[in-house]
Amino acid sequence: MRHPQDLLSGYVDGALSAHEAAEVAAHLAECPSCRETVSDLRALRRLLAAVPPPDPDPELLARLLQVDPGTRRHRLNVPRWLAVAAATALLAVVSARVSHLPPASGPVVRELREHARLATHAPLNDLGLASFLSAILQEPVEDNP
Amino acid sequence: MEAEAGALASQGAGTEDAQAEFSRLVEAHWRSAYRFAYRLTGNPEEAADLVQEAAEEAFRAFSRFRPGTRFDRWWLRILYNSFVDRTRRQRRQSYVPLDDLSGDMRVTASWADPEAALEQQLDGPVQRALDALPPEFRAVVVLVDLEGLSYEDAARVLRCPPGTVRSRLHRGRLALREWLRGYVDALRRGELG
Repeated sequence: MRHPQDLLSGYVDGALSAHEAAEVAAHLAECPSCRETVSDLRALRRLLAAVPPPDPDPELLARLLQVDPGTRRHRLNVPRWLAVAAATALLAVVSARVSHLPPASGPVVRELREHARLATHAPLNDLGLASFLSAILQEPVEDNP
Repeated sequence: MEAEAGALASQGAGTEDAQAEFSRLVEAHWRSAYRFAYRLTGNPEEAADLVQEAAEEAFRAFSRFRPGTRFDRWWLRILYNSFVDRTRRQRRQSYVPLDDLSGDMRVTASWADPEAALEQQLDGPVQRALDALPPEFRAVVVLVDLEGLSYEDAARVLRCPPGTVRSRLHRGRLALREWLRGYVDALRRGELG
């Protein structure tokens, strides 16, 4: 039998089937290095079991019992620098697109340039969106009931 | 209209019952949640924060908790998920690759006074060794060797097959054996505990 590897931990924990345990025991009888490992694992288990449990601050329980999902603080864990970088990159792309528009040769292009400029100054807010929609929709959007 | 008001009232009562039941369960199990969180994070403040985050998460998901199953295991599972999310976000820490156990991360122990309070000496070195383990190995060792869970229960908390628990546990233990060699040898010589 090859070295039983993690079966050794299972053996020490008494977590093997009878068949597996018998196999490991047979291997241990002739393998000093695995016997050594088993003794170490037993000692390590005793060591870890002897570590004192940490004492929680009783104030934590009071906090836990006041759990209210409504008051949970908002966690959007994007680092500030990353948010700034992303916004800058987006703006740069939008500006580049605007400046690379063809010269206003016709009324449609002129209108599109105008809306694009507006949307760049007010990106993704209602003004920019309304402007964009009014450019692409057939019907006027502002004065709908 | 009246029927609607009645339905709302009974829903309110159900919510209150659920809240009371949730509080009872949290009170019964917060210490074990804290121990797990403390050994995972190695830090009291972060552990408390993690427990609270997991409690909030558990409260929101409480309708999905099946009465009669073990709340502590369910809560630990939520806690472990939160912990994994955190470690993914942080990524600052570097762990010792378990293939290289010869590394310089050996925890050295002084045995000038082996009779001195063993327990107090243990916490620091063991926690430092746990901190150096990759998180998924650390979690298994903590659940099985410190908290005394069976492989099956640990597998439920960590959402992995029991066979994975056994292999991670074994590799984690082999690493700890090297890093805590001084203590392991002293225990085997019968000088401790």
